[in-house]
Amino acid sequence: MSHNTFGHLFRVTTWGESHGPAIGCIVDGCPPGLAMSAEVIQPWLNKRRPGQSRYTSQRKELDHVEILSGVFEGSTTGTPIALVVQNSDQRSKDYGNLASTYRPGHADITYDMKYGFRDFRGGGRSSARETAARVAAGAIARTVLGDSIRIQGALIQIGDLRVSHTEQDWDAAGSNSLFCPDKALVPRWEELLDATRRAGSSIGAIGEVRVTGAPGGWGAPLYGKLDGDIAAAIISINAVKGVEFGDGFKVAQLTGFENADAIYLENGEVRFRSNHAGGILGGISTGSDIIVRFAVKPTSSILIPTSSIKKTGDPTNVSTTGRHDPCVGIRAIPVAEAMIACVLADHKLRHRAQSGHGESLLSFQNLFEQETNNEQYRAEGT
Amino acid sequence: MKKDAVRPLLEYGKEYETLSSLLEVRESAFLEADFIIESDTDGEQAVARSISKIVSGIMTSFRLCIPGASEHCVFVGNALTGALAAKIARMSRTRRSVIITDQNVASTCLNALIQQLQHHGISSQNIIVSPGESSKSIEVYSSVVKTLAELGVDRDTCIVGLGGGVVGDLAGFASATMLRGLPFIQVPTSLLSMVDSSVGGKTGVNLVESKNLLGAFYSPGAVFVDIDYLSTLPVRELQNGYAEIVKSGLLAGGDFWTWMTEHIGKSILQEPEILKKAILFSLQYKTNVVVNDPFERDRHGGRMLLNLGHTFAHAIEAETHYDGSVLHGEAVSVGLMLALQVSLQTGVCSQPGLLVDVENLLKKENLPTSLRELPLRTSSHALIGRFKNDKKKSGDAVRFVLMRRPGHAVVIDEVSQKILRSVIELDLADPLSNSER
Ligand SMILES: NC(=O)c1ccc[n+]([C@@H]2O[C@H](COP(=O)([O-])OP(=O)(O)OC[C@H]3O[C@@H](n4cnc5c(N)ncnc54)[C@H](O)[C@@H]3O)[C@@H](O)[C@H]2O)c1
Ligand SMILES: Cc1cc2nc3c(=O)[nH]c(=O)nc-3n(C[C@H](O)[C@H](O)[C@H](O)COP(=O)(O)O)c2cc1C
Repeated sequence: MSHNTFGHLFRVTTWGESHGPAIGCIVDGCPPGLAMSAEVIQPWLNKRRPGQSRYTSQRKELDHVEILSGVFEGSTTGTPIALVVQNSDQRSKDYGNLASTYRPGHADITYDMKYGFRDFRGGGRSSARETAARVAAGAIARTVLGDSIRIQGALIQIGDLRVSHTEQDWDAAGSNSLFCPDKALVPRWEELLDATRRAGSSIGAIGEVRVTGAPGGWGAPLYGKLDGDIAAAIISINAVKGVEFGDGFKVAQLTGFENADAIYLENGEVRFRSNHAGGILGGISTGSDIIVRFAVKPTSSILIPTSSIKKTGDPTNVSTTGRHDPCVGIRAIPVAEAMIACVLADHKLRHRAQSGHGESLLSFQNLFEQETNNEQYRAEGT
Repeated sequence: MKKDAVRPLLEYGKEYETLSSLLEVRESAFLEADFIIESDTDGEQAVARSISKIVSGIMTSFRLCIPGASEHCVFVGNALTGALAAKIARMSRTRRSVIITDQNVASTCLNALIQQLQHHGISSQNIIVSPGESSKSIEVYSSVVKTLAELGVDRDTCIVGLGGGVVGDLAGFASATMLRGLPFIQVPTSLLSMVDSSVGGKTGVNLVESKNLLGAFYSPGAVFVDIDYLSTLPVRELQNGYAEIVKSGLLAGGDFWTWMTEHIGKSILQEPEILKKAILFSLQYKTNVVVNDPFERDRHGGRMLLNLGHTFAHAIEAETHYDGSVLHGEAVSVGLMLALQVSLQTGVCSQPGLLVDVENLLKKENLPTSLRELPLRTSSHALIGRFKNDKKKSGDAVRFVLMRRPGHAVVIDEVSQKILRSVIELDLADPLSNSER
């Protein structure tokens, strides 16, 4: 069935399986005339690639992107952009008895419930290999959004260890391999990840993405909510089990007074004194930072044997051998950034289509200018 | 006692009768006394002085009641020689002792001890062996018992084992076998022997075939853990004993482990007061285990649990061919880490954080925590092959002591080779060992 496409005007379709010859995507609806080349996309893929950190899977994936269509002489043409990434690391010996057993925590058993048959090689379509295609699409989405919009992700919790409220440097998060915004926490995370890996186990994590510079007015009420679309996009990432915006699940503990983000004007611009809402009200962006948090489950493939059944119904124990990834949450960060970029690019185009341009329609600039004039007048009058 | 006090017991004319019947009833209890002070001739001041000389250094003692063996105490403290002399006097009517020690300990501690004993009226002769594991051999054992024969020891001669675990095991075995048993006192001088080998009555020597193959359970009359001896112990030997402290802490759980984790990041060995506390905790734990299972009869608990980390440690030591390049405690240190990883990979334990804590504790005292840090070339195949030779095996399966959580160890009869291989290979391939951090 057709469940491999998302977005309305900026429309992404991904295809491919982990152990097939290649994976890729088609980005349809990208506006013409934007500067585009493989060099624009490649750095984002490099950031997602395994082996960036000693704590992520050590598989060799080269992730070299190729543009097949939709770009001419360094510019987008407005026609579908097809991107392809070859699968270079498809060792068949890795599959073992995957064909005949159901791995706990993986989608093997639900695939058989649904399709009665599956491509068992490395998890097939449900493998996180597919996320490389999303990241490639995300790079194009960022170009659509322009430089004024910043989408930055960080890992804010592994196991019980959460970054401190006060000691966060999000610029540093981009430059360390754990995407950690709290430098002091890095060694403790490393210890925990190392121990978890040596324990043959895995551990969950929480990621956060902050969007700055998005104007108010993007998104639509009810069935086209910006937060609804972002939530769907984030949940579509493998291993994500929960999403929240702003104060998220903590709002249950707040009173209405505490939760309200007071409004004021500054130089004719709408401002909020706080951001409990996470930058979205009624499914529409407020112009404040959009704050999205998501929980990633611990890697399912672990060395510790877990009981399961075979296709025949016989009981068995399942465990992986060799290297495993102690925390997939790390690698989910660039994927989450890319998915949010795609959703925002889509909503930017949708807002422009309905409202005529990409910005907020609520303006107090007249008021601001009038006041400034009055002040000047008063100043001159004395 | 007040001058005019009436003592009905000692009614005029019946004193002898009353006292001898009382003695008859109470003698067996009196004989259990650790120390006896003669008060016939000396004044009360002198008696008080004698008592104070004995007890002033004793901080704590742990009493061990073992069925079939005489009850004895482990005394812990500083400057315990007065107490030791009193105990020798208690155990040897002729106040005669033979001190067995090794050259290192002899050069730092023996003369002072002989003089002090003499001062307390104890005569002593000594037998000095070479330092190191090689002295725990049949050859050295036979030369020790020959010398004892030449010295003309009798059942009234007290043997004092002054030294580390090697001397303790050797002297203990000689005492157990010479004349079918001589009075024996352990004076451990290494940290390892203080917290571990001096308690529990295991004595013996190595055979070429395997370590500790020939031996006996033989309870000493007393153990004197005199912390002052640690001042001359080389640092590496101190660290060596520390691995067993970490092991005991893990096994004991409770207050001991909580206290250990509160000291993560601080050095336990460098602070004498903190070290003393660690020694006390360890002794409390070990004596408790020994009392409940003195002869290692419990196949799934008791003393068996003390082998935590030791299946790996023995395999590691065997891989070095006992060339001394890896100390026992260093092998135990790595063994503990590997045993925890087996616990985690089998799902017996579900707290990877425990591995972090244990590693931090061991690393802080410069102990190795991975096979890669040892001066040793080995493989999962070689190590697993060594397990088969471990005398802790029963039948063919390799028994492992694993941790569920601190304070809760379990004996697993059969650990799958697949997991053992996975743990060892992951450890050998670990890109995050010391060198890269
Ligand atoms: N009987 C048991 O229950 C039991 C338990 C654990 C270990 N052991 C045995 O104990 C032995 C290891 O004991 P160890 O680690 O004490 O080794 P050890 O007796 O060889 O002593 C270690 C080194 O420290 C030196 N030394 C000891 N005290 C000193 C001091 N105060 N000052 C200066 N140097 C000093 C020794 O000469 C030696 O060179 C092994 O043979 C092991 O099998 C026995
Ligand atoms: C970037 C990324 C990498 C992943 N790598 C692995 C992996 O190496 N091993 C594994 O068991 N799961 C991995 N996962 C998670 C699985 O793909 C996912 O848990 C599984 O397909 C079941 O789907 P679900 O968790 O979304 O329900 C990864 C997820 C992401 C986002």
